[in-house]
Amino acid sequence: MRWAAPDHFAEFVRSRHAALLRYAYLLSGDAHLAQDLVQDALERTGIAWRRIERQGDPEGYLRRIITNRYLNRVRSLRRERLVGDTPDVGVTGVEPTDDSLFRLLDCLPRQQRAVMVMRYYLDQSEAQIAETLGCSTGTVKSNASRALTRLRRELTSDAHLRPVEEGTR
Amino acid sequence: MRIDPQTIESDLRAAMHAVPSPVTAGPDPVARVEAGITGRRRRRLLAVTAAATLVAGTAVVGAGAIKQDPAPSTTAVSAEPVAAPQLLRRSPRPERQPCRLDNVGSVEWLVQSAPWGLSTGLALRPNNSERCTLSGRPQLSGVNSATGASEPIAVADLGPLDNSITRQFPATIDPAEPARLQIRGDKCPVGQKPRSYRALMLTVGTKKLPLPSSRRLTGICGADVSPWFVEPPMLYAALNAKLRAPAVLRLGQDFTYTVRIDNVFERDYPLSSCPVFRLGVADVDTGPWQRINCTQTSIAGHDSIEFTLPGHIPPDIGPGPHKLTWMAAMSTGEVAVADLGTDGTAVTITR
Repeated sequence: MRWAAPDHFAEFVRSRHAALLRYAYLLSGDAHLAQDLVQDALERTGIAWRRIERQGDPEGYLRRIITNRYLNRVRSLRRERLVGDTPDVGVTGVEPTDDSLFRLLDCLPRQQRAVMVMRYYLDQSEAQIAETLGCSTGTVKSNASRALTRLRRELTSDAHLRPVEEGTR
Repeated sequence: MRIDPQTIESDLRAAMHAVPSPVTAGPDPVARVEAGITGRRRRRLLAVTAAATLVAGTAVVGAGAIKQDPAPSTTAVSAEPVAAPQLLRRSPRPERQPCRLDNVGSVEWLVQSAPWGLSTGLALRPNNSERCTLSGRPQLSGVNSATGASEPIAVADLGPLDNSITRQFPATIDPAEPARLQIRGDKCPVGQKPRSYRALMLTVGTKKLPLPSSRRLTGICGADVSPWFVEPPMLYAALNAKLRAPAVLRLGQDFTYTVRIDNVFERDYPLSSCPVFRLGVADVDTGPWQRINCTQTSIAGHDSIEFTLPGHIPPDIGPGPHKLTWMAAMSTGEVAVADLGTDGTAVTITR
């Protein structure tokens, strides 16, 4: 039998879908992966919507799913990577629209990138980020510090000014 | 937008807020979510039904054992063979624009890297920068070994593909994701002379795609080329698994190893039935699927469970360095794979 979205959930999806996509896109740097992450998170949330809505912060809950699924997804894709007898063919990455921002973020490990996005896009505190990532605030601080150091180093070298070459993303 | 090292924090904040939502969500995202949840519930119902059938008659302590604390230390447990579980996989993707094959050089031969990995076979990676769809059946031709002439290979219909592999048709793929197809040779009926072909070539529209030179068709009268498909990845549980085993193992040896499963998140992870698992050495199974005879009914948030399990090294694999691979299927159909980051646990197999 077809599942029908409760009214509040449908309203939430229509109003917040674009914002969630933008968050997932900043996190992953990949438009298609962002779409999959948001779809997956909405499916997981929709089933238990009344309970999640009662907890008071459904969007935060969704973003937590998106973040954790993104971090897990990176690992799962690595697992599924096949080993063939011919080398992989490189491909040019999908957009990003803002090269300088996305090229910068691309140089960060995924957890540091997630910390940066939650800190500067969502304006979350270290405690909130730690809760989402399931780690200590100390880990968040060190991730943020390392990420900023790395980004500054990238910005002061001229490496990031070169266009991204085919097969390097 | 320029990002300056001196004002990096404010610049990052401004740049991130200036990024537009990148993807058009489609006319009605609600309808898409509704369809996704409907499919998800249907698959979960199938998986749970299968799990419930398998677990019937095994050690369930009773209605009182709703929830127990996770094992404080390693528990040596037994495991018993079970049928292969039904695994949750990525939902079929809606079709997109046709893939362009301008820059594709040839078809690859991919080799399975773990017992649960994608299968060994032919694959094509279109060089598209966006998700796209490959559909239909390509034509197959080859050089007739007897005559040396290049000719189309007769089309045969050998019925549906075997169902041991999950496939989704048509192949809607992301950049760098492989689209797959399968070629099956058709044996000749009595009285017809079999032919052999080398230098096999697929034709998709006007594009010619050579197959690896090691791929040949020998002693056939025709070939069945499948439509393009994808093998969807499994859905992963929000759990980490880590396997510990002796560093050196002998061919044919029985041994014990320990698996620790961490729930790194706050919420309890329910175990409505004990996980079933497979242990492999690289891509070789060491035995059938087995169910852990556990007593836990959930993994509490930020907690772990640990099992010591019996293992066996097959006597017929090559000695040398290998990776032990371990995958558990949870009662929901989601999977947990041990040591994802290193593709398994390194061991040395000796004679």
